[in-house]
Amino acid sequence: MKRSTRIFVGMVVGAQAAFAFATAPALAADDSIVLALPTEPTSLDVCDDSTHANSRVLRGNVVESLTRLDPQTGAVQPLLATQWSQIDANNWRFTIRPGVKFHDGTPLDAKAVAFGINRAMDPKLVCQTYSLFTTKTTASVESDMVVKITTAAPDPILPAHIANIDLPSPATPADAKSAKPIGTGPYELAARDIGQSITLKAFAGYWGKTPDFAQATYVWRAEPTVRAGMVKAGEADIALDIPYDQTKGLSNAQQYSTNSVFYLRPMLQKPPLNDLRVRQAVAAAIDKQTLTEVLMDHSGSPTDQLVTPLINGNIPNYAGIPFDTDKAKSLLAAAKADGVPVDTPITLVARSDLFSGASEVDQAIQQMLEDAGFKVVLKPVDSVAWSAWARKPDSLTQPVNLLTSAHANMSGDASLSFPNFFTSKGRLGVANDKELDSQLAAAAVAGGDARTQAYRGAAKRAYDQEIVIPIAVLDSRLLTSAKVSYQANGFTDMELHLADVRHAQ
Amino acid sequence: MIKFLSFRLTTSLIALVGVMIIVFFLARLTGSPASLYLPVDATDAMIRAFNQQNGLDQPILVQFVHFVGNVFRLDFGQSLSQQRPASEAVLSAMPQTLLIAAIAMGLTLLLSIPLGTFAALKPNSPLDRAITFFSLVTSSIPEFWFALVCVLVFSVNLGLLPTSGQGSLASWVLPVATLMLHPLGVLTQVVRGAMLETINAGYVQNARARGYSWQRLAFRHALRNASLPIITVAGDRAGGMLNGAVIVSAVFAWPGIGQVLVAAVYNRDFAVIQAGVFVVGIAVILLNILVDLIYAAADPRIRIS
Repeated sequence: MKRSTRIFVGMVVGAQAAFAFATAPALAADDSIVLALPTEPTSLDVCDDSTHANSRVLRGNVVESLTRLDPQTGAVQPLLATQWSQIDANNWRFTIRPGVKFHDGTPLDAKAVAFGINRAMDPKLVCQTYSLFTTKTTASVESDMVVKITTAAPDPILPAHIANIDLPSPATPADAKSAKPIGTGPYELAARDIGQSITLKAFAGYWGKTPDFAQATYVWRAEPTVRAGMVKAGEADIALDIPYDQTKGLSNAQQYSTNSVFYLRPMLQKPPLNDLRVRQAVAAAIDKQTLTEVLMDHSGSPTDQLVTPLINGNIPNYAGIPFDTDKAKSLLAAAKADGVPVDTPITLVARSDLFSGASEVDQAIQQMLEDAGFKVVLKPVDSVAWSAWARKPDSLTQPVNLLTSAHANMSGDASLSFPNFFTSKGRLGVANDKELDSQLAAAAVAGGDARTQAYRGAAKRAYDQEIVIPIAVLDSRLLTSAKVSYQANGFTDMELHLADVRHAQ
Repeated sequence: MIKFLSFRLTTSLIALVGVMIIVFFLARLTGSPASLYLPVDATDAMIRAFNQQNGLDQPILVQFVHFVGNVFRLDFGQSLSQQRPASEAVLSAMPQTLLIAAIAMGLTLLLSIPLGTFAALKPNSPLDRAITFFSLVTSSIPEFWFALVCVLVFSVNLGLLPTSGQGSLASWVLPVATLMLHPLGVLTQVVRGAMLETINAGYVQNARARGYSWQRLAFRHALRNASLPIITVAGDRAGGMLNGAVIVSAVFAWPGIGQVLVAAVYNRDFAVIQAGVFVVGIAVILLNILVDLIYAAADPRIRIS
């Protein structure tokens, strides 16, 4: 071999070695995992962890609450409280779990619990969890390890509601939001690279079982193909919100319900949607089966109810108006004969970020409604523009419209759903039915089976009036690597507990 | 020259002020951040408190006066989503953008100049047609599609490169290739066209008749005379890279100004949008002045005029 040839071969081999070294994928160590999520938290304050983006990272991992809900049944379980009892209609007593410490070493006691609850309930702090409580709720110390929680109006399911308040260390500022959450969870915040990643490390002083992985790193990837690619390439161990076409045929893919319902809300205050027959025609015109099977690409299943069976207000075997274009046409004709202006154009306010492929579904709904004889103007909006159509007081002054929306309730109880959508004072409702208002007011203070029956009765009345027109329960998918074992559940979309992620056998 | 540069700088700054005013009002037309940062069922009191805490309860003209006053102190306010000063959020991302833009533009020039020149030296030859085909393809492929296909091929199927993020040297390959895609095709065509015109000039033909080689003529003499349109287009494309490289941010989660600006728009983070536009505007002004200086270096007639 000539010298020049040897030099050339040497350079090629050297370049290959350098390339291989430089391009070796950065695989996570055995005791750490990487999670690829679509969106970064907008706040790391403990009292803001009621939105998906925030709670996926914080809830159950960094911070914990007095109680938690079973993801399968919605039943209330002890967490940082070992037991609780109702003193009277407005007062509850919670006994705090002994031996629990915050990540900064502060012991958990009644004083710390009262601080956390009162901080979240301070209206000046504008916490996201605040709006989950319809009645003023305060906490006070009864003894070192017993806290009393008082509600201004009776709250028969306070132990379930209190699962929404995660507890921060007393070192957290009381009057300002904090970007450094200090909780009692199995992981503590190790590092944050804004826009890129959040790293959690296992908390050595955790009161419960030590998690399998010493470190977890969350990275944000907006593009689902990239999230799926990260698991396939060995760069991530769990990727959430993956479209069906990216998981087809993969044994490491799991489909799970998000407990989120996609629905239409008719603008009841203005013609023609103030006429029940017209609203029934809307319901009859929509072919939910085709929407979910064809356009939603395995990401939804038809439903006639606003809440899933996880919630006590779900009516077993309830069936709404079935798809029937002819029936829709005849209902419209009957309304028209009585002078209802059914030719009025209806704005379909379509929020395109509700789920993957929402825009196509919105267009199909527009077409189905026009096939039945409606005049529909499609108005795609983002979440901010949508808000003005959805929320009172602005929603009441908008032109007649059908609003697309999605609602998730994982609390087990319909009090976080129905009052908001069905009552005349509900922030997202446009109905004005005194009977329904009183039904829901009675349900709110009932307990046990009476509460379930009361909510089901209210739901039946609301569905019969087509106050909302539910379309589909939304499903999602995740991918896991060969390194981990994780079973998705009804809470996965909101709370992905790292302690449930185990080494694969 | 100094007079000319002073004039350019002054007119550019006036344009930047105009852009900042437009961005201030347009951003606020997109709706209140309270709709994003508060739950959909937030009470009126919560919305009022949120707006008050973030200065959004003031009339828009009062907000604008505060904004202008603060800009003179280079204070763009606090980022809503990042919970840190907006200027810090933007400036921390800018070095990554400058670096990747410099690498991508440098490689683009290194490839497009020889490709365009060789194509111009043998017009209508198979080599010219191959280079023209290549440049048309690269300038026509949708960048978003190209980026995703690269991820699937080089990361998922071949396992050669990371899918996204910024870590090893290899993590730069796909973002840089995506950024280069369109400028490479366009610049190759521009170089080819400019060189074709120049090598047909009398002085080049005369030199050729006197025995100069084509390569020497092309790269030592003709290229300099053909450089003005190349500098113009390269400057324009470099400005585009500074503007954010949005697709690179969206697909590869590249931590540059593009990612910061896109997130700020989605998050209605007005302070970051304003700071981002200001910093990118300054960078583009400086780039344009640099282009003017390169013009002057390349063509003495510009210096004299």
